[in-house]
Amino acid sequence: MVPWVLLLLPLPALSAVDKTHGVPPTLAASYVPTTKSGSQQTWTCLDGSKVISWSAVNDDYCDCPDGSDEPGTGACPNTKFYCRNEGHIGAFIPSSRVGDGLCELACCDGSDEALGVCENKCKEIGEAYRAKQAAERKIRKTGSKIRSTYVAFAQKEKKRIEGELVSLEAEISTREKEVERLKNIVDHAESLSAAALEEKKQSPLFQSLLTHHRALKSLQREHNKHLEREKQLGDILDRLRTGYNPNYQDMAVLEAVRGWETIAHLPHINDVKKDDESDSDEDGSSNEEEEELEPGMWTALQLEHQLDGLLNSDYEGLLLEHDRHVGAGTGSDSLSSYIPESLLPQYEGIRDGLLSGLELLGIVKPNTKAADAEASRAKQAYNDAEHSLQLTRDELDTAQDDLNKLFDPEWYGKDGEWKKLHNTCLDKEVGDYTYEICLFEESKQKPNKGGSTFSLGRFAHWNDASGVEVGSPEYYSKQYYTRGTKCWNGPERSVVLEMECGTENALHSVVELEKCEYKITGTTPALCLPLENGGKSKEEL
Amino acid sequence: MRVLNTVLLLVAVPTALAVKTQDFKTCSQAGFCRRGRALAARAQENPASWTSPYSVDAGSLAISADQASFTAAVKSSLYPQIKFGLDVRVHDDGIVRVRMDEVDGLRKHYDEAASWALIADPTVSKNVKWTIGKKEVRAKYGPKKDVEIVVAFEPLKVTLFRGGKEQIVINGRGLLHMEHFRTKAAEQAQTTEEGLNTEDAQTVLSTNNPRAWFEGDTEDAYWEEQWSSWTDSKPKGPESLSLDITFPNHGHVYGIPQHASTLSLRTTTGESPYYTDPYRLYNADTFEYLADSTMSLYGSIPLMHAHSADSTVAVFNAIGSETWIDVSHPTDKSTETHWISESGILDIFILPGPKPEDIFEQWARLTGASVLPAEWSLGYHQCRWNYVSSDDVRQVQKRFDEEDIPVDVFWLDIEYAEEHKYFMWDEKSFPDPVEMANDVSANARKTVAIIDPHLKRVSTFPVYQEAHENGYLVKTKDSNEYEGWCWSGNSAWPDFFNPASWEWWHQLFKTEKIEGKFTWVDSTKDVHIWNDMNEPAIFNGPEISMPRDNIHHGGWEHRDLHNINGMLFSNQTYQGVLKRTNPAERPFVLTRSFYAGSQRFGAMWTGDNLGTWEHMAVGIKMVLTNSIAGFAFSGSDVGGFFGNPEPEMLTRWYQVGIFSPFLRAHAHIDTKRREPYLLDEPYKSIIRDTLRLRYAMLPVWYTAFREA
Repeated sequence: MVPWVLLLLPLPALSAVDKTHGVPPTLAASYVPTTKSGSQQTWTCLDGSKVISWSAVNDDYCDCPDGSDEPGTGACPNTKFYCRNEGHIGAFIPSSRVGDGLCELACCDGSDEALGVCENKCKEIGEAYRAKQAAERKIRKTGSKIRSTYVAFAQKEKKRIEGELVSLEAEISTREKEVERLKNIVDHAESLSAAALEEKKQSPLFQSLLTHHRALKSLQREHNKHLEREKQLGDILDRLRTGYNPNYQDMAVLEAVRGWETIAHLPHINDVKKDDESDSDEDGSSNEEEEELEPGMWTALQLEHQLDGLLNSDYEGLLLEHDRHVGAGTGSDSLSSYIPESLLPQYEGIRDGLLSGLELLGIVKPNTKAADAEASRAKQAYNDAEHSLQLTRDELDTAQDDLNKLFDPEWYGKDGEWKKLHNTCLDKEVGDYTYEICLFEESKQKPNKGGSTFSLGRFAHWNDASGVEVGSPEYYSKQYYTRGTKCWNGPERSVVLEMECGTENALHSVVELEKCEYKITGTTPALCLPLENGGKSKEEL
Repeated sequence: MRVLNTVLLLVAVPTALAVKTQDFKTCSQAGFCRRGRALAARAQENPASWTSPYSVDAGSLAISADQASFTAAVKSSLYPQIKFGLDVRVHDDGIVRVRMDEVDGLRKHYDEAASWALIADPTVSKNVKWTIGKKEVRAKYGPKKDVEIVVAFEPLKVTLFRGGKEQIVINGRGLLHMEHFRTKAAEQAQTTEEGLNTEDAQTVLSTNNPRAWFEGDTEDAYWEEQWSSWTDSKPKGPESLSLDITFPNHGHVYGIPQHASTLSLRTTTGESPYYTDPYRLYNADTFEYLADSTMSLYGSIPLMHAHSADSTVAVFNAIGSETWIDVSHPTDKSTETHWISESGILDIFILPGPKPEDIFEQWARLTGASVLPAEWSLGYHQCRWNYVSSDDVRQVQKRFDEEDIPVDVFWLDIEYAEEHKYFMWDEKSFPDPVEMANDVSANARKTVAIIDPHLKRVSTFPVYQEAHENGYLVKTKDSNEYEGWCWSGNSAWPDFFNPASWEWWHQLFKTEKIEGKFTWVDSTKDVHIWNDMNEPAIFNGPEISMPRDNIHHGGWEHRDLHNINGMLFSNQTYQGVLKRTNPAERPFVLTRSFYAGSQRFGAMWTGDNLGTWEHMAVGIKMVLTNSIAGFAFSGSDVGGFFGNPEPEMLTRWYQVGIFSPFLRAHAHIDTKRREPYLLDEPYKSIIRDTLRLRYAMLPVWYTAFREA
């Protein structure tokens, strides 16, 4: 070559970057010059937008709008450079890494840098890669065996639940008949007593009782609202008390904490000296709260536990009872007051039998009281039967739901492989806490040195990020647990559980990347899909 | 129900995101500022009869042998028995230094501020000749002999002229007042103690006080002073310095960072001022600061530029104590300023200009040029409180690479350190710090880790233990080791005013083992340093800082040198990082607190800003003001420290951020992660392109720093 030709060449061309440097094999055919007779060699950008001189390819200057003229340099942004990596697997790296003086691991042949900058490490990297692949395959193989037992378990579950469904359906049909029968009896009894009952209900006393009932119920509702609110406020203050930063000498916060401690009889937090006093403080507090009550007044404990019972009283039953009381001394029942208590049951049995006989004969007019009692008993039996029916139906729904979820890709997977792990609890100790996840149920943070356990959320869904196909391995690689205990001044706690194939169900790491948002990693055989023939797995296709 | 009511009341308090103004003093809550402003008000009321009581004793005037400077005795007509000395000299670049101190006083005023700020002892000009007249002494100088400094005798007044036009006038308004040291009278003490329940502890003097026209009728907060729950013992009594500096022909003044305010300083006094309080210089951790205020922030550079179409001049008031500066414009074309400082001597440097670039040059000769940064430190810095583990750091780096977004530095905030014992890695989360740093270095990137000045007071912390054993820690007024609360809990603070401590601090940064000493072996030469909380920030201290009566090396009180404290910390860190490599590699040290001269040691940022448009905007102004004051390697946290910026705001913030000399994204621990790769399109690509533009412009930045 004559010297003046050399001078015309752009400088980088002297560094002898091959025109196909950085070109993947699939595109190699596109990197050839076009020669028209009498003119210089040209080349067309891959997107066809521009024709450039062949010498402008890989000359470290970006000519093509799509950047395709610089496959082997870093001149065009947002393009890819191909490393052959012989002895390993070819790879693309961003063009920004070409010629940056750094040896990219992904480019083990060192072709991204000028000759002599990077060693060719493809042999060892390739070997290490293959060894790792083999180890992973081994885990996959073992794991997939375990996984197949999970699938078998799901099949068994299916049979079990289906069997349960059949028997539950049979039970329901029996119970439905029983309910039907009892309903007829109730209808009959009620028709006898309904009219009389209606009249009795008009009694001012009964009406007043109903008003009292409603008032009490309203009061209870308001009371509960306040209790709930007080509890929430207490929780907020408890969290403030344990979570506030004493470093910032914020007097308002300090005042709130001290105030709350006094009101709630809590020991002063961060106040070591006063620890001893706190015990006696607490003793004092319980005494203090016992107020003098007027005789017959309910205590707070009674209100809490007995008010519901009172409000659920059978008022109609009481009305009839009341009637009986007031009516004592008149009518046939007056006899009972003369009969010794020990004999009463027998007497009542004989009397009822006798009366019903007499009624039938038309000798004694049907006593409304007796009819009422009859209706009330029938009603009770009917209610009981209906309740049992409902329970059985619920059981059926649950079983049906279980069956539906069993092979639902959004629940236990289309092979049901996750069913086995339902409510399997895994834990991991990190720092001062133990993190627990009961799969498909709840995640918790338990302090190791005492203190309250926080919910980190309940199972919400699998990986529903956009672009992730339901049922794909990527879909099952993440579980989301949401709506845990709210953080002081922060969000509700939540967990993303990231899992991969492993021979054990275990948690490996816990990090709180953002306040109260935990990332937990772990392994499970449920993610070990069986290896296909030739070692290629389904997920790689 | 009583319980419930109380609880409700407590919860109903609104929780707005804003500065807690009650944590910081206003001028009226600081005795000396109150006195200074009252003095100015009295002068304002009697413009005709007001004359400064200070005068030069012409007979005592002595010109030095080399003709370059003179000294003279100064007297105050208020206290004829108190002696003051004046020293005026002209440097070879035309800067005039005016010093005045009390002579043979009961105690010494703090006179070391300039020695910390100045890069070297300035050389005095050989081409100045003083002419002593009847009423004044004057000298003409400069290449065109058009600059003239005139010191009038009675009253004392210093004026810089150029071309016969007044540029800078000191004590033209007669507000100069250097409170001399005095003895606390026993009976006065009693009165004061009785009146201590109010913060305006005042002592009424006898009615025929001949000094009342100037000093006022009361001894307002001369001695022990209370504010909020703190008592400042003030054993030295009143020692404040009031000084008026007037620019009769300059309509705009700039500088005196750090404030979240406009570039051109606004009025704080005079007719319908924009602000009510003077600009304040008192380095403080102002939590959630306001975007438009004269409240003091983390650093102080008491340098003020005055600018007009044909002239730019500047004054540097070398003072280390709390200083308040009132600004007013009597006319559109003139500016009056009034500087009120708690303690210290009068030590003024007059920078004659006449062009802005001359001022920059004069300032750089005086206090040093910006450090020439390592090129990587001009790239993009990714920070967050906190990257929680070494794997987290690796993962963040991986994500940046996957998205091909340029980044050069990954930062570790305080949570890397076990119990906030800096240098000590939290082994649970950072089990392999050296490997982590090497993984970052493998991609030609750097790590920056935070080292704060609060040392946890536990014997298991070798850094504290060494400082404690060697007596390198700041003392209380009773000469005990000072204890305060900070991130690390009960802590102590190293006293870098003690030169003996320097070597010790430098040694900590060595990465190799040294027998019997702590060195940072769990670190590499690619781990650089972030100095935060060096105002110093102390959670249980007055104004979230150190008690003013604490004692530093040489017996100086903290009040004397408070504003300089932060600079010494980043200075010594810089020296330590510099010394750990041989041949030396350029250190990178970021500081939050700073003083005149801090530009020699690294970068600064504008502290804990809020994620709001207002803060994004004021950040630009703060960086510009800082640059005008010579500290150009500065930036604001991209995205805002507090809050979760919308993608649009975050993107805009990057677009603003790449044009500041220091470019770092940072976020509070309570915020959502917001690394650029987490954003959806189109924001992610816009930010990628924005950062690439920054990288494309690196040669411009690097060259600009070289030239600075």
